[in-house]
Amino acid sequence: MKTKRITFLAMLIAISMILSYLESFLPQIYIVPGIKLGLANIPVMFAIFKLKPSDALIISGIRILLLSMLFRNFLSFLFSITGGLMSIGLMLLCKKMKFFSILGISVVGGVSHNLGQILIAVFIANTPGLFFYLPILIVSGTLAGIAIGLICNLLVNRIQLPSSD
Amino acid sequence: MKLKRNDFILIISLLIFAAILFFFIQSIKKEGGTVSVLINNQEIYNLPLDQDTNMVIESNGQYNQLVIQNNKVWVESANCINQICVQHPKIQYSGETIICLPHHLVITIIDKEPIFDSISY
Repeated sequence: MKTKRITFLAMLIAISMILSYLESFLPQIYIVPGIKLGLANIPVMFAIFKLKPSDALIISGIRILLLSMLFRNFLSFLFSITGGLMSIGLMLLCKKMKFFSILGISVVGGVSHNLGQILIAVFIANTPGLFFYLPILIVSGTLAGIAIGLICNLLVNRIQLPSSD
Repeated sequence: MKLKRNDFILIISLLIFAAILFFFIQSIKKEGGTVSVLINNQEIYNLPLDQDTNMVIESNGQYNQLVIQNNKVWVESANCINQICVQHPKIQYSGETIICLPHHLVITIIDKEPIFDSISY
């Protein structure tokens, strides 16, 4: 890895960690557990569109690892990483298929993140009743995806990277 | 990057799917009969839903205060880190669940007729 890439990724990881922190100040909606805006995904989306797929995975993976080690526990690591990997995987796939624009890809990411978390929760708690949350989490994932997608659309259009290394 | 028509088709179809799923789940909801309390996948209490209760479930210094009132169940207070179980809305239908993951606690409502399968017996 070149130094430039290391520092750039480190900056994006730092931004996404700060955004996670800022998001904890937003009022929480407790219809069901798991409703979140997902501001931390803005740098990840940026990496998907402007950098390499592996960069998106690195940013998301290291952010989740660091946040879990600093403030949370192993269980929350497991939840975050499942949702994160599932959403990034599907977003990369959708980007490759060129079927959706950034908005649709973001919606796919939001919904699949919630889907991944429900799956791991059902698996860990051994409670299929959690699927009752699915309709609400699909709607919340869609709305969060739209919001993040519109923000990323602005960013991707306006930020020009000097040169790819 | 321009937004595509497919994006809107995706969003609309997701919302429609969620609505269909929501009404499907509403239609299969049944009145619950008993409240099953599990810690580490082991059932420790089985309480009737129509009998008002206010109890503290405690193990290893971890507690969750469980309330059953007017056929509804909720967690009044707990000393877990995330308080998701306390903020969870009241549950009353069969299959609905409150989970406190930090305490490995699952509170779930089951049908009036207990369902036994070959694994439990």
